[in-house]
Amino acid sequence: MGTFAEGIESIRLACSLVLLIPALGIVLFGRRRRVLVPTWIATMTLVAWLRFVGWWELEPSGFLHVLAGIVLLGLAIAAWQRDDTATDVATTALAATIAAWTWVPCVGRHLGEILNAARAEPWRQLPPTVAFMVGLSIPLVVLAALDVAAPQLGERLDHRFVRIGGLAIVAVVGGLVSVTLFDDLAGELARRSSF
Amino acid sequence: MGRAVAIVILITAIVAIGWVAFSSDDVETAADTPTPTPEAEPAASAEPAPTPAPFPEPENYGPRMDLVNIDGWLQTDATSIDDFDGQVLLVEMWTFGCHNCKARIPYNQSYYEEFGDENFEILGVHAPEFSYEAEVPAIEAALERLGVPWPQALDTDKKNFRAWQPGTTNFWPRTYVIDQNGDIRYDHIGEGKYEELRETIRYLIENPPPPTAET
Repeated sequence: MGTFAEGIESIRLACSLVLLIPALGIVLFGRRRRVLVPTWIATMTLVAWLRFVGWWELEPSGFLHVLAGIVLLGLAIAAWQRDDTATDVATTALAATIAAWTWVPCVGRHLGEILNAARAEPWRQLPPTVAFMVGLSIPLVVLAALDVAAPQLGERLDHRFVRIGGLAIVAVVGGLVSVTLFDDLAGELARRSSF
Repeated sequence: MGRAVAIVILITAIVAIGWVAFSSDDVETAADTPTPTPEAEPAASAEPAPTPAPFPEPENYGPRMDLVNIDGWLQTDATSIDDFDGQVLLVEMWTFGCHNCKARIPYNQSYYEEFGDENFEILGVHAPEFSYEAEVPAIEAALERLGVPWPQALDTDKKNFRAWQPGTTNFWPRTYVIDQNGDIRYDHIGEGKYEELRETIRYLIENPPPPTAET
């Protein structure tokens, strides 16, 4: 429970902005939040866990990272044009992969326990990693649940301009990653915010 | 996902957010005022307290790395990590904008107070995440504001922050204790384990390793 709570607390940390900015885009562009939010959480958790345990050793820079940014930009444009579940899911999965790949966490007590043990006992640290990431994604969970629990409210979020706004955020993230400036955007937002 | 399940998830999530929001102030207050006593205190009892088990010898993780391409040093005349050789040295990779790094500062202050007159020093390696954390006047202002008197090495391009941490994933904060021979004897990511750190420092001060040929 403490790990889940620490995930929720981490929402307000500047270090989490690289995860939260693309997440905001996903949750806004997705009419299909009940599919996209679990996709986001599962992908982000998997990539973060692979990094924690040392099985994902790709540097969050260089050719592959730039290429991922370009593909994300292309997928965001395709998602706007096609408006189908498959493209939305692919865009979400890639955005979550890039976000978790780029993320350098600020580590509290519970995430620290995960990280200090991750390389020695990778599988045992998967459940607490899931708990932390679900906590960190709790606003997305609320919006996805709201879609199902109160469809009328969910529909209000599905306005065309909201979808355009969400896709624009994802496209900007892809564009900035492709020119290696995504960190700078997050930094500027952190400086201007009241963290 | 059925509507009932969605409602349960929604209510649970909102309660969890509210609970964390209202309890986080307490957590921060607690972090600002560390207690010098062990983290897990025994329950009060009429019986005499059992003698605590001796603290085990800290594991030796091998020689420390060097600090290279440092952009400057603050609050010290040192120009190299070698200048701290022969001391028990707590090395903290941090940045002043990081919440969890700031939460460690009161504990480091307590170690500084407790062991400062002995063969002990703290060295902050300031590795900024964002560009505004890389400006020296901003760092100096933060050191003043946060009450950090110990030496700082400025690792602006994070070369050492990355080199000291294995793999491609790095974390703020990361804490090491280097013994008098230059070997890493404590390595911890994030907050927590404050008493273990205190005992490690105490152990190394009281039980210095035998000098090697190099030292």
